[in-house]
Amino acid sequence: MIRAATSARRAALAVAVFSAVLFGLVAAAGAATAPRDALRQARALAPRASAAAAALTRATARDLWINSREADAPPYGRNVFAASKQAVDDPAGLSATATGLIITADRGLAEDAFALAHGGGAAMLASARSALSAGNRQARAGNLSAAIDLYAKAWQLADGTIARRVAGEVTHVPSATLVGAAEHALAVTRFGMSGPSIVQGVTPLASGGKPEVFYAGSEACPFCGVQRWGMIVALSQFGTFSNLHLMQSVPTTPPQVTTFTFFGSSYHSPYVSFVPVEVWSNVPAHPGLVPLQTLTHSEALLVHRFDPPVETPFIDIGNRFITDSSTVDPQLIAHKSWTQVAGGLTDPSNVSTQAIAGEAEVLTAEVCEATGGNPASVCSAAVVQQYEAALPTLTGKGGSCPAPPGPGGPPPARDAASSAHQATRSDPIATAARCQF
Amino acid sequence: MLVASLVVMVPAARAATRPDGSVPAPAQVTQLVTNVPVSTLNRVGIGDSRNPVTDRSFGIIKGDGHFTTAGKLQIVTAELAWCPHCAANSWALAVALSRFGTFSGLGEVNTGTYFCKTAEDPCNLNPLYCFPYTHGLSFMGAAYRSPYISFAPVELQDVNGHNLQKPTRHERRSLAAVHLQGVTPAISIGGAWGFAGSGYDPGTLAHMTWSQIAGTLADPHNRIAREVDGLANLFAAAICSATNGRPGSICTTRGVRAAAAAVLRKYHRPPPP
Repeated sequence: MIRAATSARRAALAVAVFSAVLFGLVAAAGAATAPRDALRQARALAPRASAAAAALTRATARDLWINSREADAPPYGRNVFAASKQAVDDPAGLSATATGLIITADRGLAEDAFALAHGGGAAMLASARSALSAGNRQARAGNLSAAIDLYAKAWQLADGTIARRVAGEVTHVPSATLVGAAEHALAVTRFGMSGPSIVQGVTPLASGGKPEVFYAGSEACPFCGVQRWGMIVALSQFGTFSNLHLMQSVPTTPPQVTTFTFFGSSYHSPYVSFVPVEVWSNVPAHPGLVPLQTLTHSEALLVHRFDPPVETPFIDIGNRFITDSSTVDPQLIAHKSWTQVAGGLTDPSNVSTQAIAGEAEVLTAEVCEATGGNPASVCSAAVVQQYEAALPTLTGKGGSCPAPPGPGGPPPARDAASSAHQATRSDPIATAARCQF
Repeated sequence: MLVASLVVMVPAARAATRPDGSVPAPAQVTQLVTNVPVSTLNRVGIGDSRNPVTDRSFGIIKGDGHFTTAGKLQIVTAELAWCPHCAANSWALAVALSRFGTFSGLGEVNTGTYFCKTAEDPCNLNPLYCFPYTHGLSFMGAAYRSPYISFAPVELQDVNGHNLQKPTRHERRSLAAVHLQGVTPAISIGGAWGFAGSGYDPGTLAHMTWSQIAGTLADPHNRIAREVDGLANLFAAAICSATNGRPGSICTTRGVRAAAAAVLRKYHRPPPP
């Protein structure tokens, strides 16, 4: 009896919802309202302390969004849809307006992703379009959960297309753009590029008979985030990446940057071996982060040998060049979506392109040193030679940790304990703790 | 049946929370902490506490101060209730000071997770060493009486990071004499010796209740006792150094002499920058 009544109520609600969406009764949920804002409005309309309100709080959580129109890349951004679905499934019930806002938000996410994916793989876009249409049909029929699932599918398919497109752009930066932007980055001191530590007299790091580029990083870290763009541009000159997925650093450590993850990717090159390890995901674990990959014993020894504070990104190029910070400040690419950063890679006057090109040529110069100048098609380029000569002189701050506290604060010997707690009474968070352990 | 249900449902009366977030320590905990047998302390010596002469994770500095209050050696500490490193030191400080005087009204503090929020570093490969929910002692609201020592604990912030106390000018000068202004945990022993940071790893106390920690301190073989009691001997040795060996009944004990030999006599003042 109760079930029948509930079903009838849901059906009526669904019809009302779709009517609201179709006929503009949900004025605030119009095309101009960003999906995250629409979900926030729905949360404000949800009964207090209801499961729906809690689900909408999760759906709008800061760490699931790049901006109010774009959710995090899959798999994390998928949680927006999962939480939306929990909200519409709440038996306590939402108003037609609130439910309409949720459906509009999720459909908007899918449609925006679809629009951004324009020009991508035809088959995948066709599947995304089909899922989007099916979602609309389900919404019209009052099957809201099914509609959200289909919007999520459409969004993820479109996102896959965007990822391929962005990866295509970053792995195929036009040579002239790269040279022009990199020359500018080297000439302009404001980029403050940080060079590597140059190691001598150590057994070269190699695997598979080739010099090894070893990377240890964290998906959550903005310094790793900015560095990956340059690494992909650089290494794409020596080989081929596949299965690069979009990623973003955590919003709790600004600046949040859009980037890729090396987790799940592969790389093949006749000249160099690339061994990436993403130690931490960007999923909060209260406290800390959910672990992703584990360093082998020899990798851990390598990191601790050359980078005792174990700050990332850690990059070892053949045991010749060690980097423990990003080459440039992540601020240089902050507040841009993947498509915006990648879209700029054809413009040598674009600031984020210059930053990425600078990073890329530093790495290219290092790899060329490690490979003995192979391949000549890459390593004999004038800009690479220019960067090779400049490597010892790159003493900028790049994306390194903040300077330690000034004189008068620290005792002669101290540890994370004391330094992390250098709290003044007026500013308890002024700890600079992110650099110390 | 009804009576049993009522008994279960009525929550235990909670002690009043102090401004720093601590609550008064039960008598049993105070008894155990303030009465660690001398024989245990003698057997432990410096124990497994960090030796600040060789371990860069614990700072020591020799100052030129002779700060006193009412003719007694003035000890100033600067702590934060949320700081797990302060919590670690608090046990050793309570053990050490109890030899020179008497505490009443000690508190128990749970550091919670505030430090984890400030210490998070998504770019570091190490697991997050933020020591959530470390259990320590609070001196805020406690009284200390001693013929030798005037104890001035300054609790800068509560467990949630809200400002609480400020050091007086005299206390600031004492901390400055050993270059510890703005550093926590900091201990100035009359401006003659200063200690910065924790004297052992706060992780040692993980998942231990106050009673469990206090219950270990009399056992010279226990892992926690070897750190807490060892650090207590070091603090006592620094106090003895500042009081010119008074009282002899404490300063000539084997544990204190061992700590002085292992640390204070090996200390070399760093050259001026």
